[in-house]
Amino acid sequence: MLETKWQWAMAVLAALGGMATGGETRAQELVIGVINPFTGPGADLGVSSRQGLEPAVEEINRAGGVLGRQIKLVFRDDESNPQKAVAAARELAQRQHAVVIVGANLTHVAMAVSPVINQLKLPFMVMGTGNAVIDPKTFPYSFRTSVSNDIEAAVVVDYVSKRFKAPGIIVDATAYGQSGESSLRKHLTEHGMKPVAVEKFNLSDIDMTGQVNSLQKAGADVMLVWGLGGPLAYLARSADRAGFHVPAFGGLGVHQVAFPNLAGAAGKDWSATTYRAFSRALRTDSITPQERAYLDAQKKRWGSELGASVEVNALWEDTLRLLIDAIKRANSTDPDAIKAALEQTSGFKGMVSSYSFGATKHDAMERSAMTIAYATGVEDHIKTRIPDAP
Amino acid sequence: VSNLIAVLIAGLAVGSVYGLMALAVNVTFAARRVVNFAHGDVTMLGGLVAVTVIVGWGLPYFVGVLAAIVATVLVALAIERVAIRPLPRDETSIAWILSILAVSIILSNVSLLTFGPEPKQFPSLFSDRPVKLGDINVVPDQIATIVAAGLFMLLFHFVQNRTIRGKALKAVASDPAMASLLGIGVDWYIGGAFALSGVMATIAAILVGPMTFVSSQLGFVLGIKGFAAATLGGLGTFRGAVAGGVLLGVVEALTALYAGSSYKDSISLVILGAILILRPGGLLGEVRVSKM
Repeated sequence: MLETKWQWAMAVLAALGGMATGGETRAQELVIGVINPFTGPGADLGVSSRQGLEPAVEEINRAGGVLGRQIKLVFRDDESNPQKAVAAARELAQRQHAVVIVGANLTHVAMAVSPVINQLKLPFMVMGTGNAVIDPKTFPYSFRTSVSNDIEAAVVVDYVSKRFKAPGIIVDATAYGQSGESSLRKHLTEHGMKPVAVEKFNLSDIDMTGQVNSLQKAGADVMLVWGLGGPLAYLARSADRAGFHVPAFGGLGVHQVAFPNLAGAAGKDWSATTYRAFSRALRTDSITPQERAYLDAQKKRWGSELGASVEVNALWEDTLRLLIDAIKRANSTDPDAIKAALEQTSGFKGMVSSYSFGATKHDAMERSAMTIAYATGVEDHIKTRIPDAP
Repeated sequence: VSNLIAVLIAGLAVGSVYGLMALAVNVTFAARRVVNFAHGDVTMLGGLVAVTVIVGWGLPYFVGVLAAIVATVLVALAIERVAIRPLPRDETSIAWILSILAVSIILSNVSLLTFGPEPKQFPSLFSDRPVKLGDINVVPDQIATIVAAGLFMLLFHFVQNRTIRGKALKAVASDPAMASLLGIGVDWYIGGAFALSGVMATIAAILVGPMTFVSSQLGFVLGIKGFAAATLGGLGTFRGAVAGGVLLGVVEALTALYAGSSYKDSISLVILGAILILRPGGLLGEVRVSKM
């Protein structure tokens, strides 16, 4: 019987608590939290994560799930904003009881969210490509299946150093651009080269003529660029307007869908690193039967919504399957057991690369999985490699 | 030298857009004695409406511009009616700052939800392909922007100082109660000033659109630059607004060329600060002295 005011109050609170927790996950589900941008400059990256993860999770669940539990994906939009990502990480851990967290495709977001997820001691499959995102000493629970800026810069500089004499660097002023710049400088030095000029641009710059003219004045015969698709498209058009027509090479950001959409003809001499999977040599259709089957399945599932970079969707599926493999081997959802199992992953075969981690090696992507493709040469979701691409 | 001239022209073009933003900030300041921090977002809205009608729906250019003008005028009028008029604006009250900033955030979020996150490419005014004049690359759109801003400044200067309506607006700004007693329709002048700022927002949008891309994030950048240009030139003077905008654009472009782009914004802000220390009323502005 509820006899006192105190008991009534407790009953009401309990009822409210019950309502408030109605959205929480049932105990038997294994929750994977996904933090990624679905709005803002990285929006297409979030779409890729959904398109890659959802069909794979459905397939795994149909086959019985993992450790007898169904997998539940909980997506949170970080709006390309570090503060939103941090709030989402806490919510996923504390309210949704996520067992692992995946995502943070944008480096500046990944840098903000990594300390929090590591404090929460949750295994974190991070997608941001900035070098500092992975460091087993600082972030022991962070692992990366996507490429690092360092590998990308190595591939780009290796190609450029054989064909050009006076590289000019231009990068955005975010953590992503800075990471690209330091990697490009490092690899140029290794090839005995120096940039003739180094320029930066802010995401808010309305005009880049000054930067472009500096590169031109310094006599650059090639631009090495690092940034996101939209601002880089703007750079391409600024260079075109200034009559500065030299080839440009960059990292994965160049392949964001905003670049071909916005740069138009100004982007025709732009190329960038991409995953070899789902790319073909000039004028041939050389993707593998396995890639063709995946592309067809994705087209069937997503129709006209399918993003341009289907290889990134495939990378998400690889990441999920590698993670499930580790959880099965750990035979537990204990974070430290999953971390230990991840560190023992060796030669895991995926669609995009073969992946291996170690106790001090939390970057799994192999350099051989990377190539260089035209930024505006995407046909039927397949990128076209430049001549003599690695 | 050809590099320098190309950079100067680009800086002048961007500066002209800043100047147009500052002109609009000035027009509403003249009417209401408040700084419309949401003007950048009204401009962004004009750009998004125009690009949606012209590129998205395939309608003629002037239809897109008309639709954008209707949208920006209505929003500018609504800002005055809802976010400014009901609040006290004496010297100790800062509630209007908060309400205008709230409008700015709401406009940017509503635009994000309505028009989506993708930046959109705005159709060119004349041509954004460079034309060679001797050694120099000249972009027709940039020249058009510079000319348009110059014409607007002359028009406003003329209206403010040489017409009865301009003088009436000055009277409304300095003492609305007295202006009302003298038979000036104060509300009409204030509404007119905000409607005009709406028209100017669309004009700034169609000039800046082809230079950059139009997205829901453009409003914040333009708003800040327009406010900076208005402060630099001197709040309350139309010539000062354009001068401030042009100076800001040229300084940004030249620091990017000579001092390195990493320092571009810091150097521009240092110059802005220095000018305001030397001339607190702005380049062409006057310091208003309140007499008890």
